Amino acid sequence: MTGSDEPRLVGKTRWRRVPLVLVPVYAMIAAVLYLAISGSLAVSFAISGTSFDTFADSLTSTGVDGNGRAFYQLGVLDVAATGTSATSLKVQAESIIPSAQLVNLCQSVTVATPIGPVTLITRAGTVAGHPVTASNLVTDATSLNANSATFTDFKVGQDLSTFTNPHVTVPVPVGPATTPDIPSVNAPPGTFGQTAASVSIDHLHSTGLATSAGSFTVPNLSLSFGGSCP
Amino acid sequence: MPGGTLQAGLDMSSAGPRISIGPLGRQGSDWLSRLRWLRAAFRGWRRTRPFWGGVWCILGGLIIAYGPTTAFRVILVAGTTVWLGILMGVLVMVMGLFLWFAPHLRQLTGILAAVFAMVSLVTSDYGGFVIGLVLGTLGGALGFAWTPIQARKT
Repeated sequence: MTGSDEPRLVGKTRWRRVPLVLVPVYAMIAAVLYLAISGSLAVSFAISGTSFDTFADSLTSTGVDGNGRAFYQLGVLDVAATGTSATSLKVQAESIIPSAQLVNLCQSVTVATPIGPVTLITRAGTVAGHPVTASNLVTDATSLNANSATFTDFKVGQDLSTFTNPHVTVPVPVGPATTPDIPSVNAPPGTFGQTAASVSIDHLHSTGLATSAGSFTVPNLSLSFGGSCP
Repeated sequence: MPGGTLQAGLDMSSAGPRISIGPLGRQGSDWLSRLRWLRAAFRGWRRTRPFWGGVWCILGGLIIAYGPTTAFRVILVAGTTVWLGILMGVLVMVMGLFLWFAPHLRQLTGILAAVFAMVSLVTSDYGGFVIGLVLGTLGGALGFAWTPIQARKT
């Protein structure tokens, strides 16, 4: 047998080579984190089926989408990730906001891990004048509280299937409610909801056991494990 | 010891050159020697590839892909980047499998695993809540650093 890399050759880890990869990669990670914390790089966030709380001093829409709307809200039937029966189907209020600014955002996510539940607290937009910007924000919440909310051109009972640029999508429960991954389709005719041309919410607190997704710039990001939002 | 010894026959703790490794002889008939044979075969399989690099990459990739996968149904909402988070997790996992089954590509796949794990920081819940990011970069680096021991020419 020669010295060539044959698959049956015994090998070992040469520890001196480990930093050759780790050092440049962690230098790049530091650079990416710096860009994220300075608010010039958006991070994507998506999780479902976990206990999820969002607090913000204010949420303001910053633009409209191709339909001329800045806020959509509809009732959806979500499947909780741990559910095995019909009781795991939960009615949630789904809000879709194409673009928004959030001041003093705090998100708390509790994930069940083999070592017990772990809570991750994310804070961002805490410095005045540097709010969090979010795009394509989708939140399903079981409860949505606010001190006050201001909408313009608020339309209740709109058929969401009439929007085509882009389409509004809704989840479709298929078969027994055992899977958290239900596909979504463009809203069929007769899907009613409410929309607005702009929205401004003061002291938002939304609680959900379901989906939250969006792309965020997170100025002054801080991540910590444990604790809770105010 | 029927079936339980290694073909290389050398003390595994010695620093001497080992060429190849594998279970010796045929499988025994009783379950105990068969178990020994399987253990030796697994040991040989483990020592002939960057096993731990692959383990950490596959685990890290799963953690990275987990968050976005639970929010899978959002994937159709126009403009979301949820799919990118799933893709990065799957890529880190595939790189881990490459470390196992194509060890001769370990340097390339090790670096790629670490880079994809780094990208997951922005595409997938802060790199799978940081845990997937750490496991993916560590696994990639371990895969890169793994080297076959060269046989001494006699």
